[in-house]
Amino acid sequence: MAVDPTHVKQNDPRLKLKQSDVDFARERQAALRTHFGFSDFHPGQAAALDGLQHGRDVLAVLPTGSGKTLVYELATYLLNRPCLVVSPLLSLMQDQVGRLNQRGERRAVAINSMMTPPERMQALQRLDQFRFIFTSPEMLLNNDVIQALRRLQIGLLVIDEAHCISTWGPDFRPAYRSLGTVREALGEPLTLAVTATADHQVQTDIEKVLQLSANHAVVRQSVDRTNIFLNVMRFTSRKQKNEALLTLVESSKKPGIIYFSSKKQADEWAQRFQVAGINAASYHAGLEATTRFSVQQQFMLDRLQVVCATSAFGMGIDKADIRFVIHYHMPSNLLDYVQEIGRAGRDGQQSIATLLVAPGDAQLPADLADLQLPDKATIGRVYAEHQPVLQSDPERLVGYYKEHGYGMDELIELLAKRLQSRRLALRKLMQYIDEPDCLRKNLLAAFDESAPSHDDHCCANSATTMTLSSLDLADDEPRVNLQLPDWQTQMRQLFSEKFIN
Amino acid sequence: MRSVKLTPTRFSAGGYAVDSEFLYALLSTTQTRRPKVIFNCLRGVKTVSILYWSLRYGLLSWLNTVPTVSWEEFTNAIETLKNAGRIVENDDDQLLIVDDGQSQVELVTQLYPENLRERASEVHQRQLIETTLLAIQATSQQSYQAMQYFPLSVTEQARKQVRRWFRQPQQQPLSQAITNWLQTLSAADAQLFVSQLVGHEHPGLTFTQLASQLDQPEWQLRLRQAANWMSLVNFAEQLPPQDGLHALIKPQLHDRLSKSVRDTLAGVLQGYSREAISSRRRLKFSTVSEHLLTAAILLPMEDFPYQKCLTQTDIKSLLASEPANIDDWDFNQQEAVTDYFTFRLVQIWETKNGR
Ligand SMILES: [Zn+2]
Repeated sequence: MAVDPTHVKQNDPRLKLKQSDVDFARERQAALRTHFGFSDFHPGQAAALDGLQHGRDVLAVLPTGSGKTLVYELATYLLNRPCLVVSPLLSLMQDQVGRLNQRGERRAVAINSMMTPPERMQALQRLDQFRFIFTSPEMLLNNDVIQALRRLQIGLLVIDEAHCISTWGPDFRPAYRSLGTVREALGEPLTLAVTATADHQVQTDIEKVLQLSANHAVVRQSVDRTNIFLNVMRFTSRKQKNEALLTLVESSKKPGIIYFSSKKQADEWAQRFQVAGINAASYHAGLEATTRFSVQQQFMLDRLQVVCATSAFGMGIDKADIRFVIHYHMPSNLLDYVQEIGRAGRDGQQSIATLLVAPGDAQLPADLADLQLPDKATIGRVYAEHQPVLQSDPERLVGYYKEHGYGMDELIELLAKRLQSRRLALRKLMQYIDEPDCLRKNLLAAFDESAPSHDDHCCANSATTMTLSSLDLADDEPRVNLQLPDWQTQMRQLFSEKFIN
Repeated sequence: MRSVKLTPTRFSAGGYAVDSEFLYALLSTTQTRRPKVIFNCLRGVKTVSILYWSLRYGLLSWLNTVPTVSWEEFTNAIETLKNAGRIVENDDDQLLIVDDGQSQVELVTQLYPENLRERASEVHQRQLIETTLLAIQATSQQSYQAMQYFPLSVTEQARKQVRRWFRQPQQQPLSQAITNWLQTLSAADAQLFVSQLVGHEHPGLTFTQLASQLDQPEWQLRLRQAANWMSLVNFAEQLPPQDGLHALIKPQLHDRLSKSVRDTLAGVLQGYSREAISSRRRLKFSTVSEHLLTAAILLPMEDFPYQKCLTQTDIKSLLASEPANIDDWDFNQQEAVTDYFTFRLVQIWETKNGR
């Protein structure tokens, strides 16, 4: 644990150590000001940095919105050695590189599947020019990548979304399982594993797979976000739910995000909102990169009121003043739910998370829990063939286990356990929806935390009605009529006074 | 609170370039057409079979015009037309228009004129759009002295090209060259183009947003915008080589024939036989034939040495023995004894002569 520098006494026998704690605290405070222009850390950031400054590996369980990227960015400046960030999503990597560029940090690169082999080779050859290197766990299975990283002597290894390591977690990624070996190959550099959420089983898994040093620090921050009002609304039909969504979005203070489980519905609803005079756009993996960029930037510049997103793709949006997050579809577990609603109210202002439920809604996540796992026929086929063709995700998953020496029965048992844990996770979500009392209490209990006592700004379960105005979250902005400027006006905006007509 | 009709939605799910109305324009009331050919033509697949049938369908100018089209959106468009009873599918999976709906050919040609879409097969479109947008973004931010911004995420290759381009001295500002070009467009097309540019406090609008603001279907805007890009290519190409816009766009252009096809063609023009070229270039004989058929399809008639590859006898004997409709010719059933190359080349020759 970090030592509060104000409590250091002159006659303390461990003065020397305490003195260095004070230095560390000063050092990181100064770096925060220099590199980010902030004077205060979010809760959890200082503790995680303190561990790293002491040379201890850190497992940081920090909720979405608590600024986990700042932890490794600052640590990298303090360590003054290159930082390798392992990230699960291509889009996430690009966002992070983009954000570093935006902050004026040009020495960032993403080594990923977007690069052609010659480009990758070239980037690997000049790797020493970069301070931040982002890559995927799959990319780290390539020997040339590992060799290049070895030459570099990584100062800090960051495992982002570390819960993907755990077969118990909902987002398990086989290649994450190899990160322990990768860490060893890189000479066991100082390691920071970050995740927004990890129960004890997932935590143990992360520690075991990464082989974190015995004295590693675990920094945990409550998943509770007190400024987010929790709300569940239940309807008797899909039609009723649709009407309620439109009314709710029209009457809510914006900006906001609405999560859908399908791209098609995200698209359709964005259109509906536009027809209703709400400035909305969809945002998901099916869109071209330039479209995603425009939507993201419009949202950041307050030109968009509502983004209709699919859950896999809210990750790039980092906006502090999001006032509501609505789930039109059910997430598959509370872990995902907490991550997604965490995008609201990062500025600390009152915000609201609403989950809309209609009959039959639970079927989709239930089917998904079963579907995404390989069935016995697939397992049998992949194990029987000498060089099986692995096309679907389930096939690749089986292929991975086979390659890593798992027996067929062992795998079947493992998958059965995962299915069980997924169903359990879904059951917990259903209990949240059905909660007759305090939603926050229910949510926090699922993460082994206790909740503050319920009040007017806490929650409204499915039997209670909430009023937006009492939360000061009613829409008070007049509708703006969007007029597309002519090309000359737009060119003048684009090119400042240098525009010559 | 205003009331909004909720069901059913009339919008096609966003982002699709190939709408059913667009596909309708690529089908015929008299000629059955294979969807796979049209799909691969739009994607820019240059196998002899795809190229030949695209030529037969009169769709060769659409080659590589929608390189990003997905099979899913394409089949969705087919289903929409089938369900509406506007087209039928025969036993051979070929499509034919059955309704007497208004032809869309004129509309799509107005949106994306033939002389512009013909250029698409000579352009690396993704690379063109990414480099140009990134260069404009960088220039825009620079004009505001804003050096810290979120760059468009593009391929590594595009990023490198722009970086290199940005360091070169510019003969005229990029904004000036773009403005000069925009003045050659209609005000509406210029507005459409500029609305999608990304720069300082100008995040660009998506096609979906523009569709509702301009009250025109998304697929139509996409065709118009594709035409704009090709128009920009034509404009940039005519600028002097040292001009910034020219330097930016030139690397995104390529010959419509691959180097290997060009080399084979040069061999024929020098008087070598296909056999001689095959052994000299160490290519399979069939590959040499494919090269020449590709060249014959993609080049104007006067640029291909038909007289060196065909004899009057070849043409006459096939015309005498095969059905009147060239689409009905069947190589495996042919009576005139000829090889596949000659058979195909006669078909190409006849097609280019208006049959
Ligand atoms: Zn409560």
